Amino acid sequence: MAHLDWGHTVTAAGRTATGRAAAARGRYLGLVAASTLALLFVCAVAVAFGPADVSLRDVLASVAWHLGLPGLADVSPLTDSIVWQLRLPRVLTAAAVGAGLALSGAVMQSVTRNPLADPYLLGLSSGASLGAVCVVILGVAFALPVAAFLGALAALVATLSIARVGGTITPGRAVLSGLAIAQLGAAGTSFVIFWSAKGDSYREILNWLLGSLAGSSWTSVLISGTALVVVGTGIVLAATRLDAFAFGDTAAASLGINVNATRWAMLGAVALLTGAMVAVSGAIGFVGLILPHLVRGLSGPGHRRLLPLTVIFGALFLVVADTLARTVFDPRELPVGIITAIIGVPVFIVLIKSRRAATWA
Amino acid sequence: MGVRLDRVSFRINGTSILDDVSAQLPTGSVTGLLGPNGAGKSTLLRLVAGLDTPDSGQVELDGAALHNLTRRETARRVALLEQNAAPSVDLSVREVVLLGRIPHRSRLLGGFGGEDDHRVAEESLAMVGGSALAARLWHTLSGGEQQRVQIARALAQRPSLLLLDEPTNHLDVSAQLGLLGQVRALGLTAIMALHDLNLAAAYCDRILLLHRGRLVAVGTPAEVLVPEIIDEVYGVDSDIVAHPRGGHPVIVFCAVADPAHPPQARKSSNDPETGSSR
Repeated sequence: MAHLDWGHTVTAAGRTATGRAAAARGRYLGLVAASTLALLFVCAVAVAFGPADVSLRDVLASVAWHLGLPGLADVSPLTDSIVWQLRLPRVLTAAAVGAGLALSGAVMQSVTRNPLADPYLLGLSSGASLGAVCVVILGVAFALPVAAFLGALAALVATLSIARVGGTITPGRAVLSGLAIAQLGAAGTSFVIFWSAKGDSYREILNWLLGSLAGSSWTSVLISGTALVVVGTGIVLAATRLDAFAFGDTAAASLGINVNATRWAMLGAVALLTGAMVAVSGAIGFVGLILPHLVRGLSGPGHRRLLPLTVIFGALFLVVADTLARTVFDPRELPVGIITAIIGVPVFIVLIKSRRAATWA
Repeated sequence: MGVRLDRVSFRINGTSILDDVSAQLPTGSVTGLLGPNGAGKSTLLRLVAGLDTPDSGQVELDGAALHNLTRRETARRVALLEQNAAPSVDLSVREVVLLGRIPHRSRLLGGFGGEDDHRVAEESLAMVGGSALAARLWHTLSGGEQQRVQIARALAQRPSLLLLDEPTNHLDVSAQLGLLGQVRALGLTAIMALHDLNLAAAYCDRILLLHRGRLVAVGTPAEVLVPEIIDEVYGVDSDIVAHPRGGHPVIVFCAVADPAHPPQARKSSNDPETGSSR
């Protein structure tokens, strides 16, 4: 026998497997459809929510009119401008930022094999904030996302270099060095704003460090949306390669993956995504940490299913969190990072206390 | 055909790890890679898996030089079972086996389709008798079951060569024998690094014995596993007897002389002539 015969006869086990896989795919597509509808509905409700009275019907009418669809009803110019100029850009920005941060977290957790990896915990968000405020001071607005990206990238490289001992990076060490870099980035951000302070610098510092979507405009939608679509598509198409990292670098390489190229391309994409999101919203924590863990329970760990659903749920989560942030203490507004921390920290504690945590040191 | 190692040498930071290793392993044969710790067994497996490239010489698989193949092409021909592998997230057995299909997926649109993958995965699991494990989570499996699932994952790659790095580590005796019997029954060309000389003698067609990066002996277990060579490489005294049922060599080690408790002292206490123990 020259070779083991990999026959093409389909066994009973094989047929059952094919049927089961088809059923699982049906369930998953149902989940995607339901969560997408939920996201659209929540976005519409979020636009209607707020101090000025706007009905769901007004929201739909205004959006339809701006998209050139046949008019549903007349909307007063005031209501229309509240919907189209104020609330809709904010809700869409929240959706894009939530999606981008959650996706970043999922990718980082995979390529660093670290369940605690997240752009905020590993210092990328603070680095991006520092990069962003530096150019804000210089007044070159178009360079904002670029500077935020460079800041995120620098923070990422710094965190991983500090955490690396003898060629390996344990999850615990990565979080500790991320903490140091995040503190440095936050201090730098505060210092730059303070040094250049004109008016309400405390408010501005708070918005960069804890995140806020208060200043969202259509420009924010453009920046965060473009980054999400372009970088996000690239990441989702590479989902299979992320699966290969489950058993570590050697296993990934023996499955035909170019480990170093893939890891750095993915981390570069994460820095780009995080940079764009931080540029429009400041450093919002915990979205990237908790969403992938929650979604894994629904989709399973395979990235082909995990990543698209993480995008949808990330968007859903931050739209809800931001709506709470701007309405709970109305007329005052909370930085949205406070809301995400209130939800995220308990999840973080559960993760640390979990069965597998013993191996993370 | 099969695997050919042609004067393979490998260095790390100027230190020679493998030096001028040549061997020919026929298709369908099971080869045991033996040698003390640090002899270069894992390094040789990595070179044959295409994970590292030799500094000189080459590895050929079925007539094709490995360094001319892409990573993906290599991954469709060679499957590797690592030591002590554990996933970073909770994967089910089915998901672990499906990982073996990654080298067969289209690079850009790998996110779509894949009915065939599920069929192949399920059949691979059935080949190792693991169908009942399919829905279990990896961390709930015993060591022996984990290794069997890893073999199913390797089979899902549809390889022509299977590499195993100390597959029997941390397994109990029955799991060790079950696993190696499984590997033999597959009929695939296999190379496995082993520590246990007796397992190698029982389950391998041929033995490659490495010592300090050099190949010191090649041949059947009966040819390689003789007291002189074992003493030279491992520095232990041994006797070889034929297995009462299989006829293959069984290595019986003599306890290493311990200055505090010389074996002679123990032997004399059991010596019938002294009459102390009878």
